[in-house]
Amino acid sequence: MSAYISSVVILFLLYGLLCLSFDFLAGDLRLLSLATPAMAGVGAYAAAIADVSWAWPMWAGLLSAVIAAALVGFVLAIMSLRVAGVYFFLVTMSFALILVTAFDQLRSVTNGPTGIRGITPFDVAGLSTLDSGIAVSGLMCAAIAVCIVLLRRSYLGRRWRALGEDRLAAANVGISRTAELLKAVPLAGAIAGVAGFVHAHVIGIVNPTPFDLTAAILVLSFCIVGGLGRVSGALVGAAVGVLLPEMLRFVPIGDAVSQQPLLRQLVFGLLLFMFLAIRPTGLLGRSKAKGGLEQA
Amino acid sequence: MAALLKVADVSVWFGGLAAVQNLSFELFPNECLGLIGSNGAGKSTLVDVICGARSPNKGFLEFDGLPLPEEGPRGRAIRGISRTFQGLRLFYDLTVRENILVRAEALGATDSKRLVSGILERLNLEDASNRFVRDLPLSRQKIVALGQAIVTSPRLTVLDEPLASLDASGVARVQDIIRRQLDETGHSIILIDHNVTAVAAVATRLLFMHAGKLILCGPTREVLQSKEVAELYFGKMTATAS
Repeated sequence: MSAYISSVVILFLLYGLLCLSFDFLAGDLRLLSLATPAMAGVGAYAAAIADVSWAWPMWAGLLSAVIAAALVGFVLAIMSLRVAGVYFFLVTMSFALILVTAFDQLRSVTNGPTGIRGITPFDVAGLSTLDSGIAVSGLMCAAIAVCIVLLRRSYLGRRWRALGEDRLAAANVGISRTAELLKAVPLAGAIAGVAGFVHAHVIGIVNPTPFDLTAAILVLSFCIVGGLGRVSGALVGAAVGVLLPEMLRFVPIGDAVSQQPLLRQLVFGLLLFMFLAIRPTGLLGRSKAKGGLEQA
Repeated sequence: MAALLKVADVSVWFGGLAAVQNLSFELFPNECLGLIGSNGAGKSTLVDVICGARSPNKGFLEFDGLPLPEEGPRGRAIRGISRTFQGLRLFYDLTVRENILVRAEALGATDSKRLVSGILERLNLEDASNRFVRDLPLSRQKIVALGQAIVTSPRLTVLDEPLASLDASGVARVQDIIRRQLDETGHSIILIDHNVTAVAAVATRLLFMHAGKLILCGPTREVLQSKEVAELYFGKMTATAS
């Protein structure tokens, strides 16, 4: 596999993990979170510090990334207990801003904008560094996708779908929104933590930029295009979001390569508009009897 | 016999409008109380108060001899009070089985899957158990709502307009479910509907509300024969018919 294709596949898998975390909350509970990449950042910094500063083995780095991101998710859940719908969205935006600012300013821990470098890459026997990254990211992505599917079929999935659809009716059947948020948001954080761990070891450097609000908006867009509420939708959204701009490199419109970032924004703007107008459930999203966000 | 539910001097205001005024009544075990009245009488507001969706501005409630605190619908569900909604409010992204199962699981019913299978069989919903509720006709959605309300054998079930928009066979079916629930569990039901004849066929007592006030509460026959009730409710219907 060429280095270019490997890089594109890794980018897809990294966004795939972020989209899975985002969709975990958005698909069932109908809570849109802009804090997903920032929580992945917490996981990435935890993994980077565990590897570079403490020389922990990778499994311990993964554990610390998952626990750190889940704990941050728990704090977010507590902060958002009294808000719903669009107000939850705004709380997650503020939360992401705080986290990204902390990544930038807590220089003694994060090394500021320069970030933490020299993180050990994945090393799967017989594979190159890039292919090892693909193998581990793919494995993580598949494992998380299976866990989410199983979770959605369980009593928790039923409760979260009920809660996302109608809070009063959910309370009427005995579901506690507080209890469910305190489970779901940290779990979404833990998934983002895995994404952060993979990011740290694949890219080899952790700095604040990949975890800012721009990344959050991209993840949100990918998930809407793919369709909320399905693992396949999150992954297809990530694939479309990553592959489409790459394919545009080969479109002979002027100097397409130099205009690629602009084209990416343009195409996504158009795609998002098209999906919201024509197919609000996205490519593979569940068709909903009562769509939209959780009611505020 | 001690009352299962006691509503004492309850009032609810929406701004300057009194939706429920100084309303008091008692509901006894194994009783079906029919709550009737024209639109705007305050029936649904009273249901919201009983089921914890709204707090009264005045008055108090007792359930099984203990005061009912302000605890919201979930607290009421845990105490054994369930309801259906006028607008159904089922979970349309869940299947029929899941709609009923979600209540049984949330309230910690033992062997909830078997319990739900029993309810599906009893309500003739087995053939639709894996279909999404949104794909069912309204008459069957109403049966699903009933199944969801009674799956955990609540001591009090409040049914808000379960007969609305149903044809004669649908009404008969809901009446049959209500009768069986009373006979088999010994628990109580508050039944709200505009179909007075159908309500009277299953209710042991009727409570007639008008403009937020309790006008009369008593045995079904007595309320139906009341001149005051006839003037305020049936009188209008007669006038319309003539």
